[in-house]
Formats: sequence, C-alpha cells, structure tokens
Amino acid sequence: MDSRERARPLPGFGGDAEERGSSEPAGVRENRIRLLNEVASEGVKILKQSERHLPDTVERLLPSTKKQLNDLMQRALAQWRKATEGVDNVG
Amino acid sequence: MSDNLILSVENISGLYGTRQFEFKPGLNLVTAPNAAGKSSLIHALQTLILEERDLTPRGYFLHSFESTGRVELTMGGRQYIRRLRARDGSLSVGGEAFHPEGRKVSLFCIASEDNELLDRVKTGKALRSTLLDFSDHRYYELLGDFFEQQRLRAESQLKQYRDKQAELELLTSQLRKIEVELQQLENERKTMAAVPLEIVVRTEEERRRLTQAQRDLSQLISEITETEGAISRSKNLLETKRNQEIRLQQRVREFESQHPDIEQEMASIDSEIESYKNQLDRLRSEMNSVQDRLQDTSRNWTRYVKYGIEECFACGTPIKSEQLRDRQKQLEQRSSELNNEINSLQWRIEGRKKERIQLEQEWTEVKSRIRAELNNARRAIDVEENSLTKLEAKLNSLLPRRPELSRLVEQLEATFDKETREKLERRRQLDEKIARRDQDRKTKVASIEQIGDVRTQILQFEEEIRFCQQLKHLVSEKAEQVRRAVRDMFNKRVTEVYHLLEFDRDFERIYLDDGFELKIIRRFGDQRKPDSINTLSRGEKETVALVLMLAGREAYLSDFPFFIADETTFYDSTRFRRIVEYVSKRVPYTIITNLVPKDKQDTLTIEHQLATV
Repeated sequence: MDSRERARPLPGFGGDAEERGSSEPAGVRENRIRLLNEVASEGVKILKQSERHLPDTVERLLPSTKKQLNDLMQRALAQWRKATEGVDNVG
Repeated sequence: MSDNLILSVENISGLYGTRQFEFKPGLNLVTAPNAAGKSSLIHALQTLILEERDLTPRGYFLHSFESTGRVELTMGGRQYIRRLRARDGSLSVGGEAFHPEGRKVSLFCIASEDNELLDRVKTGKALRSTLLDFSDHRYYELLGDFFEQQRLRAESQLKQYRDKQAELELLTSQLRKIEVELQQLENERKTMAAVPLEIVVRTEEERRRLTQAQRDLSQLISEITETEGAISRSKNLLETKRNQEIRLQQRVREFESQHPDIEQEMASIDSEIESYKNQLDRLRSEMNSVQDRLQDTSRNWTRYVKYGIEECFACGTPIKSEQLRDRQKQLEQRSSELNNEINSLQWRIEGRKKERIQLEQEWTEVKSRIRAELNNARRAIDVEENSLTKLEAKLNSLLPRRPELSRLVEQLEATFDKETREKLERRRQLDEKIARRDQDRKTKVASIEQIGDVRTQILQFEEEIRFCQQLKHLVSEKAEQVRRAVRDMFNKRVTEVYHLLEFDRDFERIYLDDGFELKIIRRFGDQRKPDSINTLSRGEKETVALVLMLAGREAYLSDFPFFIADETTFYDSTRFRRIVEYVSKRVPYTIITNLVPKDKQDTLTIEHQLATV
C-alpha cells in the first residue's frame, strides 16, 4: 500500500470530520487512518495464511484464525484509544 | 538438454498401468477415438497441477480398480511427481503441485469439460464468484463480516451496560427521594415537644405494667381456651370408649344367653355325631351284604340264561328263574334305599360337624379377643377419666384469675396518661420510620456501589463500535476497489484479445458489467446494439469463454508453460484455429485433444507442430 493511500481520508470518516469542521488535529486523523489500513492489511495476511481452510462465511472460520483476527483487532483498538486520548471528536 | 516434456502416468483415470507421453514445444495435437485416454491424459496433467483439496473430491483421478497412482513430469531437467492413494474411502495426495496456484491454472489454462468458467459462460451465469475468487476481494469481504460481527457483539455488551446505567439512574433517583424523606422525618423528630424525664419514666413504668397485665390476660385466655378444648376432646374420647365397652359387653351377654352351657352343648353334638356314625356303619354293612347277594343272583341268572341251569351255583339248591328275577328286583330296590339313607346320614353328620366348629370358633372369640378388647376399653376409660379430672381441675383453677386480671387491665388503662402515651408512641413510631428509611438508604447505596461506574465501559464500547464501523467501511471500500479493478482488468484484456483475434468485426465490444454478467454490443454496419450473452450461439459462447480464459491467463499466469484444450471437436473451427495460433505464439506448450472416428484411427497419437495448425 503506498503512502498516498494511507494518508487519504476515508469516505464518511476523516473527510466527514473535516467537513464538519472537526477540531481533531491532522496528525491524529492520519494516525487513525494508517492504523485502520494496517488492520485491514494484517487481516488479509491472516486470512491468506489460513487459505487452505478458508470458508465462505465468517462463522465457519477456524477458531485459531478467529482468535488471530480478534487479537489483531484488540491490539489495534488499544492503539486507537491511545491515539485518540484527549481528543473529543473521533469521527 | 531436450525441451521435450515427458509425462509418465500410472493408474490415472482411464489409463491403466504405466504409460508415457512426450510433448514438444509448440502445438501438440492429441487425437484418439472414444475411450482411448484423451480425457485421462488431461486428468493426469490436472493431477500434477491441482491442489490437494481440489483433487480429493473428484474420485475419477485414480483408476477405479487401483489403490495407488502416480504422475511424473520431466521438464527442463526437473522432475515433478504427484502420487495418489485411496485410503478408507478417501483419496490422499503426495508430492508438491506443479504450480502453487493450481485452481487458477485449472480455470485459465485448461479448457476441459469441468472448467467452471466455460460452464458458466455456456449457461449464461454471472462470473462474479468465479473471477473474484482469485482476488483479495473475498478476504476483504470476510474481514468486513468479521468486523460487523465484532460490532454486533460490542453493541450487545453496550446494551447490557446501558441497562445497568438505567438501573443505576433509577436507584440514584430512589436514593435522592429517600434522603429527602429522611431529612423531613429527622426535622419532624427534632421539632417534637420534649417530655420531662420523670414523666417519661413514670409513663414508661405504667406502660410496662399495663403491657405486662395485657400480656398475662391474653396468655390466661389462651390457656383457658386450650384447656376447654382439651376437656371437650377428652369427653368425646371417653364417650367413644364407653360406647365400645357397652357394645362388647352386649356381645358377650348375647352369646352367653344363646349358649348357657356351651360345653354340654358341644358334648351333645359330639354324641349325636357318634350315634349317626354308628347308624352309618350298620347301613354300610347291610349294603355290603345286599351287594354280595345281588352279585350271586346275577351269576345264577347268567347261568340260567346261558346254560338253562335253574340251581344255585354255590349250594346247588334248585331255584326257579321267576324266583331269581323277583329276588334280584328286591335286592336292587333295597340297595337303592340303603344308598339314599347312607347319603342322608352323611349329610347330617357333616352339617353337625360344621355347626360344632362354628360354635367352637365363636366361643374362642368371645373368650379371648372380645374379652381382651373389653379390658383395653376399660383401661382406656380409666386413663381418660383421670385426665379429664385433671383438666377440669386446671380449668377451675384458671377461671377465677380471669376476672381478676381483666379488672387489673381496666384499672391500669384507666389510670394511664393517654396524652403522654400518645406523644411517646408517636415519637417511637417516628424513630422506627427513621431507622427503616435509613436502612433503605444503606441498601440503595450498596446496590449503587455494586453496579459501580459503568460510564467508562459505555464509552469504551461506544468507541469499539465506532472502530468496528470504520474498519468495516474501510474493508468494504477495498473489496469494492478490488472488484472494480478485476472487472476492469478483464474487460481490458478481453478487448485486447478480441482485437488480436480479429473477432471484433461482429461485436463492438464484449464486457463484464457491474454484476460480472457478460454483455455484448453487436455491430451491424453502422449500427450498435447491446445484447445479452444468451443471444449468442453455442460456438460463439465457447469462443467468448476461451477469450476470457486467455485474458485471465495473460493477467495472472503469463509465465505458465501450458495451454490445454480438451475435446476441441465441438468448437467453431475457424475461430478455434485463430485461437490456437494466438495461444501457440504465447504459450510454450499447447496441448489440444481431438476426437476421431474409430474406423480411421484406433489408438491415441500425439502429433507435434511448431506454432501453426
């Protein structure tokens, strides 16, 4: 993923906040977008690793894959919280 | 080093035993009649290429009558081996696949009967799932579903905390009300007029005495009621026992009056029975004699009838036949009379015996059981009479105390300072109310503390939900981007391939729409008309499918060294020829199978050509 894509505000997310005249600092917003993109990219990697057992629905994912995805999300959420501490408007 | 490919096949599909095939760079045209191994050859190549999960569900890869099979490809000095083994009803696969993306190869480089892309184009179905399956689209879709699921979970937890918060708000509001009420009660208590201590002490003493007297009176009344109840029950029991005694005595008297001298009565019956028995013996003896005589008479009668002898067989006395007949009649009559008398006498003896047994039983019952019951009843009456006497004595001792105590209570109530009493009572009630309210307050405070501060958790879950929503939004957007990119790439490649094949004379354009359905724009002179893929002929559809396969191959597998087409007899020959020329120029090894009639050729042959058909 190139850096331009990372910095690009997502529709209904950074862009909206900007339109609403958010007081959120630009650095915080970029951090959050980068974090979301990283989660998506890591999530794809995890699913690719379990390619041989990849089902059609999320309910049928292997428990180990589900756990990996869940851990990823919780780690990212912790970072997200850290990044947005003290910021009122989080999108 | 030779550029030829050597394919060695053992027990694969219809190829039994070990077979070897050689393919040369360029076009390899495999021709054979039906059931000579063309499709099996394709299956052998698929065995080398497909991943284990795609091989195992298809039972036809291994020869039906063999449990192991093997495919070996020698290419550029390297060997690729795949082994199949049937075990416990399933197929296990050994060895590495020839290419890491076997499914993609199978879809874009092997035009066989089981190619999903060919099948979907021929039946006019959308290609979304088939083409997107090879992109990151499905990962993003799965991720989107996963984040959505996480959001729903977080929302469910948030709801629980919001319910707790609502409960907390309710408890807080109730606590405020209690505190206000408590404040009012305490204020009221403070404003109550003070009562001098000596009056309080005196009133308290009076109240204590009155309460004690009331309690004693109430206790006495209760005791009297209880004793009266016990007396009533005792009398009832006594009456029952006395009635029982009377009934038993009556029974004994009746028996004694009916049988004044029971022993003599029984001796008389015994003697009567004995007399009957003697009579019976006599009658039986006579009966025996009559029977003997009747037997003699019968014999004499037989002698007379048989031999005409008219004399007694025993003593030789002459005897006439008429006399014999009369004697026989008399004896038979007497025998019958005796029989009746014996029966009658036996019946009488039995009757008397029964009477005697019954009498003896009744006598025994009167002597033992009834007398025992009588004794028990008498003892019970004595006990109950004693108990009743004691209860009546107790009642008599209690009753005089009642008016005394009633008088005392009345007296104390009359002298009691009612005003002060009411004042003190009100104060006492108020104190109790304050204590209850204070207890309520403590309970509410404990409940509030137990729930704790849920605001932090609510904020955290709200944040998690927003996080999941934004992740879902992001991956959905990415899935959409991939979907568009795949579609655009295919459309671009299809157009290029069509142009190179010079098929664009009849069709302005062939493309995938937003839903991955194949659409065409027909050209007729200067006119253009959009149309559905279903309007194409079978040959045209097959051509379109092959073009799509080539587009996929160009995009994803441009370095893959084979292109295989099975059973090409059914393709439009002119267009297929161009496709083969196009493929042969781009792919090192092109393998085409073709059906020939059995009368022209009876075995499988491979003809090699260099990039031309």
